[in-house]
Amino acid sequence: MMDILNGFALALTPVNILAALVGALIGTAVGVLPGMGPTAAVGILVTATVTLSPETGLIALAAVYYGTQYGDSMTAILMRIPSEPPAVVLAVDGYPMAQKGRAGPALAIAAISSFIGAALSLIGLMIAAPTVSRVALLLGPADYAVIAVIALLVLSRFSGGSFSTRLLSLAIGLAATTIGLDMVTGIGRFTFDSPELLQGVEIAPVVIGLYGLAELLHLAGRGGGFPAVEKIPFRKLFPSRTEWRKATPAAGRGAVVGFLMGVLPGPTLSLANFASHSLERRISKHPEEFGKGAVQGVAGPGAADNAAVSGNLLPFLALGLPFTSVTAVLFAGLLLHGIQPGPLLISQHPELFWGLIAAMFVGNVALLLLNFPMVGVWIRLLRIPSPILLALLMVLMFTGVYGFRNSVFDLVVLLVSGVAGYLMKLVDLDRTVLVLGLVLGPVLETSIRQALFISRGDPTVFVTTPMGIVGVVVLVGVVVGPPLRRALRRRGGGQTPSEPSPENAGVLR
Amino acid sequence: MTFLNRYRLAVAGGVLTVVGVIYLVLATSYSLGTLDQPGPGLFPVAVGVLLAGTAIGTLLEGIRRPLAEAVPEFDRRSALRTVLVFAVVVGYVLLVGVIGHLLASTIAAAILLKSQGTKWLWTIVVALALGFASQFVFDDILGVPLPTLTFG
Repeated sequence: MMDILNGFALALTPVNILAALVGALIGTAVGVLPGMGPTAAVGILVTATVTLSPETGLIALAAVYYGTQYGDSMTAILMRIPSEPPAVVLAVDGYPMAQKGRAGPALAIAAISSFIGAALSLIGLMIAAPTVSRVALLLGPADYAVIAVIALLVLSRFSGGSFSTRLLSLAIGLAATTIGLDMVTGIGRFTFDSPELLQGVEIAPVVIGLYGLAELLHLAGRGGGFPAVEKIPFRKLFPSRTEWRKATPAAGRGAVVGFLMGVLPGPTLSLANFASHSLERRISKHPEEFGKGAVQGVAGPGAADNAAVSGNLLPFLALGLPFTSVTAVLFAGLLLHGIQPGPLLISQHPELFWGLIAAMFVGNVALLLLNFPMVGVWIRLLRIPSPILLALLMVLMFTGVYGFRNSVFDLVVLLVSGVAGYLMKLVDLDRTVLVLGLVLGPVLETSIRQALFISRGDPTVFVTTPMGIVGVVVLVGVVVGPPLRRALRRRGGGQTPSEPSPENAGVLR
Repeated sequence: MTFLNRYRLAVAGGVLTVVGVIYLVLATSYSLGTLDQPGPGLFPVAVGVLLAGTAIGTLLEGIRRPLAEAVPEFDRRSALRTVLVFAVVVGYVLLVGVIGHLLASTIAAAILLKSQGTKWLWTIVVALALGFASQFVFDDILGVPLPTLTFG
């Protein structure tokens, strides 16, 4: 209890409160730009926190993150243009609500349920993280290798599309991590005698390129502007009593679903939202209202979204393994501030861990306080002609990437990743899997080499520990399970039920 | 629908197969080491096999199941606009070290705005505003050094 109070003492200094407010403001302003999802927006804004102290930087990052996420849900609800899959579900019921003239309440419900989701799940994170990190201290390199493999395979299998194309994205990400200095032997790999390549590929420029620049190329090519957005006066923001009654329990359920799913490896941010939406529809007395503007369809996923992020922070902070692209960018941000997430973070730097938790609370409150009165401002931002928004995006990307480590080479990486992301979107290759490959690749390689070294070359070291056995079960389930189930279903003559997914949610992407 | 549109997944698979094979060949030039002393080539070779293997899988999948949905990006006007933005970014990357961020970003923003049909006056005003604002916020307020114009 004392720890979290100390965390709040750290977070609640005037400078840090200001950092939270400014972070939430800028985060929303960038996140609200069409095509700019949390991953790319946080990637761009990480640079802006470089010169701050680690604590203030963390608070600003947390606030920026919440801001970008809320900004993305605004474009999903008002324009049906979610930038990243997790916001897709919000468009399913949020957009019809907006079309019925309830845009204000839809935005308010999304904001408040995000707040509820984050608050409840952060409590879950506070309870679970110290225990998990104590267990994590018992894990060896072989266990880390197995966890990384599980995370990558589960994500590849369940992120939609065919398994082979997802594994291809993964392989591209893993291959990118092998560029640069080999930390064990000091040999440069795939560097072609270039000193820039020797430093390796940074995560932030790749992510900004894959998502931000790729999106810019798409939007610029499409032309024609974005859908028009109506003004919403402040008094029209408040949900009715019936809407409140429907939204509050749905947000609570969404928080639980989101947190539990967020802990798991895989595309859990999107899946948590879909799971919450489908749960709400299943338990509703009027399932026919879903997809046509059901309040619970906004409140549940709105809460699940933020709760899944906190759930995701559990393996990230306790093990040092990010399982999603957003946590991967946060990972880059923490490294920039000299903070290495992992089991030792909580025991050796408790002030940073509890400071981060408190920062997330503060960032979340800042966002709620700011967004309510400022919805009109964000909408005005959306009414700016699209060429100006595109130019703004482009300049932000340049400064964000260059400022990361003052390197023109990073701009080249941005360019290459942008073209790659553009082409990947055209042929439906998954970008999230690539990013995760890029983040977990070094962990995987180092763990494999360390495990083999410690076990004196015994490859069974990966399957004989309890984690190894779990890994084998998951591997069989993930690789063999789905084709087996399909074969059995074909023999039984059954139809594949259509599951809700970003692909069939009827959303402009 | 054009051939490229229908078989774009196969084309991507084909290109990445070539990339994968080249990567694998390069990876084999590093020492694999032994099982108890794994060398710098072990992981890249494994990744190379995965890359080339899945690229071949994607190539075959793309041939077997051509994509039914056309992408609007393949029409001439869209492609031109995309290529222009790409060229603007290339131009910025090439020039920023020489003419500095302020000038490079202003020019880049101006070309982008004009290519999207913005009127001249607005193009100039917005491009200048973006150039100066980004320089001021990042360089002066946040202390992130951006390249400046160098002479000689």
